[in-house]
Amino acid sequence: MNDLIDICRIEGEVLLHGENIYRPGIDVPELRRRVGMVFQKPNPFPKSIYENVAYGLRLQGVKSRQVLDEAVERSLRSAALWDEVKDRLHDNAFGLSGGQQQRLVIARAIAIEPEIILLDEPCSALDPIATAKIEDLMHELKKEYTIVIVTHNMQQAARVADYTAYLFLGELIEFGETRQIFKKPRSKQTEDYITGRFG
Amino acid sequence: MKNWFKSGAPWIWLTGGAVTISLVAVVGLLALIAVRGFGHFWPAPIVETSYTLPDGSQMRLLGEIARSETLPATQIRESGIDIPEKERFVTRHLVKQGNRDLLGRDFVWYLDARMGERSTPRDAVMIERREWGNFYGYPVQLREGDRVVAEGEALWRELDERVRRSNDLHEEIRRIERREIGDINFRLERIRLAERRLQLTPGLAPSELQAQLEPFARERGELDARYALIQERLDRLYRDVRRDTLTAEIMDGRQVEISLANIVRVSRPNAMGIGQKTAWYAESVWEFISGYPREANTEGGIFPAIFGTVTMVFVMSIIVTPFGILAAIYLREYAKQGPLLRLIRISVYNLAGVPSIVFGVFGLGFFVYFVGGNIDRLLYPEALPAPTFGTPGLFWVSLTLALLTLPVVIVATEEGLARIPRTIREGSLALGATKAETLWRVVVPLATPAMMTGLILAIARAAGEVAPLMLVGVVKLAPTLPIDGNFPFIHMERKIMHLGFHIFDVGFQSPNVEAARPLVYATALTLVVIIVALNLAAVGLRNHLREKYRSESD
Repeated sequence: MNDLIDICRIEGEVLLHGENIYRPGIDVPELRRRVGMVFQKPNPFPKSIYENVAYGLRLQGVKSRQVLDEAVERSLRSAALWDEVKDRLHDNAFGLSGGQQQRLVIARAIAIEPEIILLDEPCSALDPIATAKIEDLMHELKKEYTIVIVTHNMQQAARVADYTAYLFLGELIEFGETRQIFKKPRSKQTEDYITGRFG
Repeated sequence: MKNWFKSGAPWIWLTGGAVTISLVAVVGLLALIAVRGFGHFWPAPIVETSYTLPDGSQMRLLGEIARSETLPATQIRESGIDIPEKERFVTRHLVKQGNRDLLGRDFVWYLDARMGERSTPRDAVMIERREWGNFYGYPVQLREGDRVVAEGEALWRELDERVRRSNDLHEEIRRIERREIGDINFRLERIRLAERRLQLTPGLAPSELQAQLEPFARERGELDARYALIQERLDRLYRDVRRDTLTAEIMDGRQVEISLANIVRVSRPNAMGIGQKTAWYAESVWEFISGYPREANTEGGIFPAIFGTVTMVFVMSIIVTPFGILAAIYLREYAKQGPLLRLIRISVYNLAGVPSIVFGVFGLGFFVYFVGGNIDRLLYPEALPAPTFGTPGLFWVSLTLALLTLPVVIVATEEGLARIPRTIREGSLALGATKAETLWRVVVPLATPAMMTGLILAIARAAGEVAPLMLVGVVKLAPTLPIDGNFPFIHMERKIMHLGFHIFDVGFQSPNVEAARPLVYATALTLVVIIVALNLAAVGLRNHLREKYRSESD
């Protein structure tokens, strides 16, 4: 996503199965397919709920109605949305509430079975109840997917993450198991942040 | 006072006033053309009165009062008419006395002061004729050949029936002339062109040529035979239609004969009830909308003009929409944003401000003569020196208008594309879509309402344009419609009629201004109605699309 922003500087490397994703000549659409992404604000397409979830599969050329139906149901179930929308799959996705839209976007991301899901502050635009649902969902999903979540909400990080990294102004300050980071931070900066002396 | 200004009330009055003035202007304009235009078809009473000529002699006047006005007496005196000194104002009436062939003029001003008592005789008749405009008079007798069929009150029913018969025959004649003979002519022309093409084929031995020409000669013979048969039938019909004659008395006492073949409709407006008048009105409006023009466009209908306008707008839409949308997508999505692109964009926007006649000149010089001329040389050499596409016609009209409206479509589409939220594009990219896939599956469908807005504006502009059309293919009277039953059904090279040009032609180029005046308003109203209808259709389509691709941005 960085290449959509003009003034971006990248140092170091990001490895996916040992392959540097900043390597020149990498197939970017294929990379994006392997790494799902959910944004801060829910961004469903102005299509039906069904078409939103089926979008990624249709891109890959899946035409069979049966395959699509199954994938849509499985994804919506995984995203804990199926029971709420199963009767109106062909309604416009904008008819859903903010929390439902965010779960729809997650369903859309997992429909194409990525290896990693990036969540960029997925709950910052949601109310506490919707947030709780998304967090429950993350606990379910982390059994099958690697999830990387960015959050400004430390309680949330403590609740959902196994490992936590603390970044400040683009620099990695500390990385470790969540319990360790929150209980015994190695860095003074991290401690200041999590104890609320800063930020 | 200061507080009044602070309260903001003056702004409400100012802005509200602007809206009111605009509304009054629009409604007033529409009301004026509606009343003037469609009031014309309501049957007016036929007035009979006596009129004293300057030399003291009396004459009888018969006709409709078309208009009245009151003028200062001096103005009338200056034009050489003697008015008593004590009069300061003079009222005069424009009388539609018809009978142009017998009286010379069909609209004449008469002074009110010299008119006697007015009456509306029940048996005064108004006859709509195919030639020479309306007839006003009193029917005397109806004859079939030399035999008198009916006189007096019995004449009416007989006349109605016989007029209907002659109209049916006339309809048949028209159908034969238009369809059957038109069809034969079309085929003969195709044979002629095919023969010519063969003769132009290089390296064809004379004997071979003869052999290949033979079937054409045979076919031509068959067609000629068929033509002779049809001609015979036509002659019979023509004799038939001229069988009956009506004798009638006109206002100066002369008795004249009118062939029923020359009568379109007969009415006795003074004897009509409100129901009959309404029926007559509906019939007149229908005739106006569905009929073909007569008498240098001052009589009859405007159907070919309506048809031409709508066809032209459709062809234009088909041309301009893909071009405009593709150009806008490139400008907004692919081109590198920079000074060069800004320059291009400004040029495109300014194209919308170029006077339309300039597009007409360009269309004539480039499309018609250059492109059309070359098409003729390459594809239709057999028809030369008569041009096929190298002359103004429907295709060039539509193409010129497409060029004229291209900026509108580009601007609207670009704005629509710019309005699509970035997050939606990112969502698509995040699922592994390429830029092109994102564009065609998500962005373009979302921008369709904006494209439709562009098309709506383009239609509104194109349908009302007249100036450039005169140069590239719109004519006063087109012999054939651009769409008919002969292959290839849509004849892009044909000249068309157009409502806007029709207004100009009838209003300014007409030999009979007074007769044409109401038609100008009626045609204008029809044009407005058609533009509104086309726009409503497009707006309906846009709303449907908007509903389908509803998103947060709208």
